[in-house]
Amino acid sequence: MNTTPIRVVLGKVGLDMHDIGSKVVARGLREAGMEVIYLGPFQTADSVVGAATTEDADVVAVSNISGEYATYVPEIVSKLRDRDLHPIVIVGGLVPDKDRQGLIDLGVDGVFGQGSTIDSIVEFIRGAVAKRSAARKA
Amino acid sequence: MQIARLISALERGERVATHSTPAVHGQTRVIGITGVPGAGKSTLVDALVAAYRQTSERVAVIAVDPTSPLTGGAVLGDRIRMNRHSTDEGVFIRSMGSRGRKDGLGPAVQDSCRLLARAGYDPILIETVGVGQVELGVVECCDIRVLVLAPAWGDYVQAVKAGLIEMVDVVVVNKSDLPGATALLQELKGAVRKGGDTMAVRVVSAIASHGENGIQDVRLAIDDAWNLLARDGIRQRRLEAVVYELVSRVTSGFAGGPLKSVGDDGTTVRLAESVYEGQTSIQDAARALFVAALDRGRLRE
Repeated sequence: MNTTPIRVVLGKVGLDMHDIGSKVVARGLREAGMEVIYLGPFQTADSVVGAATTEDADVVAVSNISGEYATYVPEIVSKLRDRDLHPIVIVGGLVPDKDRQGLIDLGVDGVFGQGSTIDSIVEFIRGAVAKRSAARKA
Repeated sequence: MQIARLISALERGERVATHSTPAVHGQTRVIGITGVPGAGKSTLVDALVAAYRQTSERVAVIAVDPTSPLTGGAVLGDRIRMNRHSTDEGVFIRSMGSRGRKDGLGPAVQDSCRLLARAGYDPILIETVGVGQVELGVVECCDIRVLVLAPAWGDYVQAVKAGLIEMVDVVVVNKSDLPGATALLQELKGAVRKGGDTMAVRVVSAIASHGENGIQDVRLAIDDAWNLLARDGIRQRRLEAVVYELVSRVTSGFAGGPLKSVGDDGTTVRLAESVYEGQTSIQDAARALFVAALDRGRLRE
């Protein structure tokens, strides 16, 4: 294993404690060679950003199925910016198609709603991280 | 945050100047917490962090979890138990994968401690992988070694077998509200007295998940061990830690480089066959393998 693992901070926001999906994703990312810093449920914007900071996260992955992503994600994106941190931000869980563009416009890099496959998440993350390193080297 | 990025660089194997001299990091307490999965290491670390924060000490935590040897990935789940500290600016929590190391630590722990010490974090708590065997990494690299045991699961027998009890400074019987705790406590105190040597092993009982329960006793035991070390020879302990790290790196560099190269071209297998067929002794074969590997030259870094 010569390549450095991609570091993903993964947490659930709000009062949503249905964490089976996020655990499945965590294991899937591990199988794909990533280091998943698993925060668990009941995260706030501050706790997610605090973790992303000390963990030097390449990716911040927010999981939610209660609709509360709409409250937390904008705050997370703006706090990351305030700290001059630029991880890839993805949101997963129950996100209706109509909300997808709004999240992208806010600065979210990828949205993975119902039915998303682990493979598609892994592929997206690898692509996004590679693009970002290339941009940095340029 | 700069430290976080520097730690990532260290983990990638890059050379990062830590600008840390004994004058800077000599007084920083590096406390290793080890024990089997399920003994309550993370919960204890969480409780200790809270206790240190009450006395306004800035604390760093490095929590190590095992990297999959097959995929290179890891789920680093220790900080889920320390969630309440994620928003405290006085606490720095970093999760690390073992990334191929087999001694309970990750590849950048020692240098990361120096960076954190320089940034003013003291103490630094290292929560090791905790596979229940002798975790040489924590014994060799940390100033104060804390072993966490929980009643049942034959922890005591395992720990005694592994000689771990004699190698640590503090043993915490966690989950001491469970049946078997009193017996475990007695056995440990007995074992420790028989060991009878200069550095006494302190045995403490706690219930890490229930607020203050025993945590102050754990702190006192740690302070006691630290005072003894500071008095007798922190320099010696730290030097030994560097020697250990040097030898670790040379060994793994040799194994991953020259030795692997010799294996890749079939030399190792040919020598093994010769031993297997009874043509060469294992000692002669080992010597030949070593010489062949040395001929390959450079360490892989």
